[in-house]
Amino acid sequence: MKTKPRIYLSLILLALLFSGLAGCASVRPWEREYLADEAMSFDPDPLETSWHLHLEEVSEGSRGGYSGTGGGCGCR
Amino acid sequence: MKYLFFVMVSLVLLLDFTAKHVMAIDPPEDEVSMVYNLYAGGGISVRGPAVIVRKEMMGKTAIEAGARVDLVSSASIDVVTQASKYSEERKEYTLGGSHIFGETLVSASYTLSDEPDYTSDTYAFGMSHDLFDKNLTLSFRVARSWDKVGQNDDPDFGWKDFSRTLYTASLTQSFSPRWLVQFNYEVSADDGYINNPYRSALSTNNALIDEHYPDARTGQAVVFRTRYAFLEETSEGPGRLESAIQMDYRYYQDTFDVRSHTGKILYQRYLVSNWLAGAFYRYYQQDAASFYGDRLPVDQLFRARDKELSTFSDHWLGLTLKYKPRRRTWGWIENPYFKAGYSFILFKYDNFTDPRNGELYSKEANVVSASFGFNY
Repeated sequence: MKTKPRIYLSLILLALLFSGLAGCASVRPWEREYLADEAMSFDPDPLETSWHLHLEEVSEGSRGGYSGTGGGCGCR
Repeated sequence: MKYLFFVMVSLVLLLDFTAKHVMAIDPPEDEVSMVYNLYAGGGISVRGPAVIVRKEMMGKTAIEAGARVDLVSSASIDVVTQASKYSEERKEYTLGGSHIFGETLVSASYTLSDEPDYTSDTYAFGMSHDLFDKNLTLSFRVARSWDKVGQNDDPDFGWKDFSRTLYTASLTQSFSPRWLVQFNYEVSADDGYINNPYRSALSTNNALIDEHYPDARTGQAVVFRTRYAFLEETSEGPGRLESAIQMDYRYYQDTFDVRSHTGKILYQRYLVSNWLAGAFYRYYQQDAASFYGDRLPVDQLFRARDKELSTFSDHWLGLTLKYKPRRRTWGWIENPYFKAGYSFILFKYDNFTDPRNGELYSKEANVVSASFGFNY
């Protein structure tokens, strides 16, 4: 993991960028109708999402980044 | 790891103190979700139901319980070339709860997974915080599992320990009434018996030799996701939400030297007001682990012939359809929905051969799901 300091620095910069932009972006509570629609949800069906993440995790060499999943694999 | 934790905690405190106005997080709802899943491909079949029930209490607290059963039948390429076809059952139970403290949602859960040769106990703790009129949501999650790995065919194998810890941080920002962006970072740390006790590697003269993995693995995943809404045009200006598009990218690397790129594009559209159709395409490409080999020298210290650690790519293509009846109340059932999904997956391996014919291996899989849910 030679890239560790670079990754942490990128994360801090990105977090600061997000927090800075948050001050500029001003979606008011009464303007959230579209954002509240289920078609705008990153995870509308948690059961379906956990099943897909489990399939990806046991079929591929990478894992994570979306949410944690536990348990065995039933995959040999 | 301590440094990362310190950075994240500092960011939470910094954002907390600088927030000018904070909105309350949405209260929980009484909810039931059920799904039946099926996966069939590469000689493996997995099918079974799952259910989750959530109960709201006093407006700020929710408890939930879930269960899943997977019936696994396997004649995968590893199984047919090195062992015998088998069937087994995996059961998973989850108990969790959440509470809203002021403007922060705190949640915790416990998951037990049990199969004849594998058990897992997972504890998870998470928190989410809305800032800047709900324009920014900051989330953290820590999960740790303690697993036991067995071997059905060898009573002398006993049970080997394996543990995994996940640290996840997430930022979700709404940039406009139609545009969301999310950034996730996750670190995973594995310790213990990482091998698959059933699989062997192949030597350069095609003899079966034991696999040998390092006993620790640390991975990092960075995910960027964005979602944008398209609105119906009416004579009076923008109307209801007509469709939405989502684009994801993930970069992953770990101490096995596995590096991967994942891209996904998802499009959803209301056919009529109560029918929501979706289509997605996902592409995944990874480079092999440093100690992976289709054929390996006998004197190499670490050895693996796990196709999931080889160089390969896969393509997923999927469709979903969700229906919400116009009648919203059926006795004590409210807001029911029905959903069906189908996806097709093609895996193409670049340096994993089928020992039966010596050709590069590839496989196809079909994934089907049917779900039903409601409030009560």
